[in-house]
Amino acid sequence: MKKSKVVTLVLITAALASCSKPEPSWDSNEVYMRSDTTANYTHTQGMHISPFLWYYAFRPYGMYYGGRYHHSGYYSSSLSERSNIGRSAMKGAAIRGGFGGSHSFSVSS
Amino acid sequence: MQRHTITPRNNWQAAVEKLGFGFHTTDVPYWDEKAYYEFSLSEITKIESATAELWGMCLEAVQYVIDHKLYHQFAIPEKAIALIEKSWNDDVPAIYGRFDFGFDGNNLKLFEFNADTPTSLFEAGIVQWFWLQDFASHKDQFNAVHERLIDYWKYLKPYLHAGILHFTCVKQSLEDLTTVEYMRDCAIQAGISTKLIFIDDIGWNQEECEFIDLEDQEIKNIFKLYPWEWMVNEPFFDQLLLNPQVYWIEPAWKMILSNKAILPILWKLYPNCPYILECYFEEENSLKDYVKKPIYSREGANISIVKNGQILEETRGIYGMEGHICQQIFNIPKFENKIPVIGSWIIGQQPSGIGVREDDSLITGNTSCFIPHLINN
Repeated sequence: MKKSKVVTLVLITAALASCSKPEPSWDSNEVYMRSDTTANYTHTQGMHISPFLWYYAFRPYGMYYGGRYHHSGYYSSSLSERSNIGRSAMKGAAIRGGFGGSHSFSVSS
Repeated sequence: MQRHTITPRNNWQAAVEKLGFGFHTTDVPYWDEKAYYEFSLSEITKIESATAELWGMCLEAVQYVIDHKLYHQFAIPEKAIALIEKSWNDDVPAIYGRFDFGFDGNNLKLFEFNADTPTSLFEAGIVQWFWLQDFASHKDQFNAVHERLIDYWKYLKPYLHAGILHFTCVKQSLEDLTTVEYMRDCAIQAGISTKLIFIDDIGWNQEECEFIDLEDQEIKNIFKLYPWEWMVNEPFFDQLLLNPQVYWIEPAWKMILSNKAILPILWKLYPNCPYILECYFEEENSLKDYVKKPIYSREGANISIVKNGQILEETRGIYGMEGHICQQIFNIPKFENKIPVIGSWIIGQQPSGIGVREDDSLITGNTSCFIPHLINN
């Protein structure tokens, strides 16, 4: 039963360390954001995700072509579609949110 | 099996947080090292043998359900059947599951099999192992979770589609994120390229007819901590059927095993198995003392314990619309007023370790504590 070697973690300790940080003190109800410079700002009504996952709210957005990654902006599911997509044809071509809509709590079993 | 009360490590919170375990305490403690369970080697061997034997029976039971088209008893929608059968016939990669057992010192009985989205993997594989190093490093523990996960990802690597293996879960749960990131950690150590994407960020490219991540990279293999029974009722399930080549891990055939309707099927197929409790679909039930469970439910929700027609204990919840099963009551002795359930991990095809959760109640719910264990040789 005994493990024969040292247990090593390469990802999880660092990745989740930021999740334990205290809640930010700013008033999240007064935030106007956009994720694309071609998009309009919209008022974000409170945080749609927990503060400990806020670090993950914006993901780089781009595309692979010609063997290279071309950065186009950022995407956040916490923003309205108006502020995410702007005039970006690439973002507009994808539908998102088709999974995960009906249940947002832990699946733990 | 014995329960021992002990003094927790000084500053144990910092010790577990250093490992990346951020949900040790919510409103009530979840990780609890004020006690541990001690098993003898023969008890562990018994759990290990039962796990291996039940895994073989479960695979036979899946084949039986498919051969006899029993999907209606599992409330599996018509549109999911072809996907289930394809994933079974194609032997789409599967990696893990957790059998939940009751143990009275002699008899070990299966309560249920969490085959699709089992959690407490990180607690079992990592947190309790490091606890043992601090508490009694000369002792042993039934815990090969970490090595088996890495080894099995290595084994699966050539069978995956070329490219990235994505990992996904819901955004709002640190527990789920930890489980998924731990699984991803093991895949990385197996030499697999990975990416994390939250379930509601998954995109569908209509022109290419493919699922994509936030950088528009095609998703070809994806480990999901998100139940199939939810996915089949969500809008992207239609898109999923348009691109059945994607490897969803756990695969669609786990819809059969993760459903509590598998319990009466197991009883029907293996009535002499010492690990399986007598069990029936509600409409066929002849038991007087039984536990009534929805075929779909999580964390002990909507469960009733019935004795001589009287409900002794019940829990509330949102499940039960799809039907119930009735399982014979099995009495677990209390340990200092706590009732333990043993979660036994199968990784790949092998029994790989255990985690113990205990509760004051007869029904293990989302407030049950995880208690570490050791083996006394």
